[in-house]
Amino acid sequence: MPAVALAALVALALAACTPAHPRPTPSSSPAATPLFSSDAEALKAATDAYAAYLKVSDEISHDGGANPERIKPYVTTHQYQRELKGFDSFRSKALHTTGSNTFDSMQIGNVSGTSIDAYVCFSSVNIHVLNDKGEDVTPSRDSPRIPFELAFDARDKNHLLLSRSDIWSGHNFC
Amino acid sequence: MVGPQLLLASALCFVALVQPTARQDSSCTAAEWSAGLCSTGTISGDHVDLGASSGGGSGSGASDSGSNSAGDDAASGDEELPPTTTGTTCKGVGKCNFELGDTGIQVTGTTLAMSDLASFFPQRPTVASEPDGWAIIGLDTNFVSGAAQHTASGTLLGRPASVRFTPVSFLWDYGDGVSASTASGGRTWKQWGLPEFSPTPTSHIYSAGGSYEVRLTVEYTAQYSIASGPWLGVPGTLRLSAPTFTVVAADAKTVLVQRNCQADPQGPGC
Repeated sequence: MPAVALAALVALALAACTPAHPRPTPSSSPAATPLFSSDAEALKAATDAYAAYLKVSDEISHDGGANPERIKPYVTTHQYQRELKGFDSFRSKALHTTGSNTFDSMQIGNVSGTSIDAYVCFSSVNIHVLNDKGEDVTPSRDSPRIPFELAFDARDKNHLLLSRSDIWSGHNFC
Repeated sequence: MVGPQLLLASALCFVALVQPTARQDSSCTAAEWSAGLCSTGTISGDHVDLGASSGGGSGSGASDSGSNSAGDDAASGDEELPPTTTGTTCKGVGKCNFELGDTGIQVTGTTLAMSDLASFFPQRPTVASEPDGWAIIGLDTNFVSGAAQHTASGTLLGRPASVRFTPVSFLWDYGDGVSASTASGGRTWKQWGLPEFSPTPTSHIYSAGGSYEVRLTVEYTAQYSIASGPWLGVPGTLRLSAPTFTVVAADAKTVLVQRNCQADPQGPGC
């Protein structure tokens, strides 16, 4: 390959590897103003939103999955369907819980527009699962704290809805 | 010629910048997790199947070039990075948007259309008896299974994956119409610290002479782990049978006279 062509290719590769020049946007666009002024502010909003979600989720679990629509104000439409499926399993298996789930070490992974990705260590060690006979059927938990990957959709900086909840299957950071 | 070269460079760069994340499809709500209702591993007869698909941030698409398969990269075996806390708006596992200068080419992390399924088989359980293959009518014969917790390893989308099998129930069919279920596979008399022919949780007494075929079925629970991730439960249990084991029962005089301690130092009375 001629040296000039090779140099051009290298230059192109380097140019391609230059991360993320922001796409020019009209200065008048409201999208140019980030929703959160810092990751810390996003973290605070995500932490509050997840705590509120978890509180209601626990309440529904305590009631064996009854009236699952209580979770609707805390999740997106898509996630609401997932929540309904989960609570439906409680009802079909006649399970309910006592105790509260907890989380800690939340980290913000990505903030893009109104979307926030976060990582959290989740714990159910205070939860007991009971069947309809009152028998304790709490599953064994090898890992007391489990890593979760969460996503939120921000309606405004004080109103975040949980849009995704996945067990993090990569390196266990908890 | 610039177009293809640029696309090649873009593809190479994208591969370097955005690591594929061969991620278990592991959607799970808080309520589901707390009740042990989350899993994408399934028991299929005598083995466990794990399914996976690549996750967000792992794929690619270039607006000017159509699809940009990074399929081979998902099999790199690289450990998925934990999230970071650096001060940019694009970190963790991806979902990054890269715009390549003024080229107009936009590469966006999207989900790769990749999936994988791997099967993991437990080791077949074993069974032995004391005395070895013999029983004395009216005395306890001690049965011991070699089944123990073990891990089967493999790969899922090029990443190390493991399934851990734990025996939780041992179903004994002693061949004389008697069966039993025990929580453990038993131990040898020596391990118990007991003299020969002592009763144990897994011992059995034959009341008549003859040849008996002993069948053992072990029930396992399973858990899986991707890379160095947490152990996650697989719903249900699976059962595996040990090879049939034959025991000849006879009275004490017959056994002791016919046995030879030099040939069988583990035999009764030796």
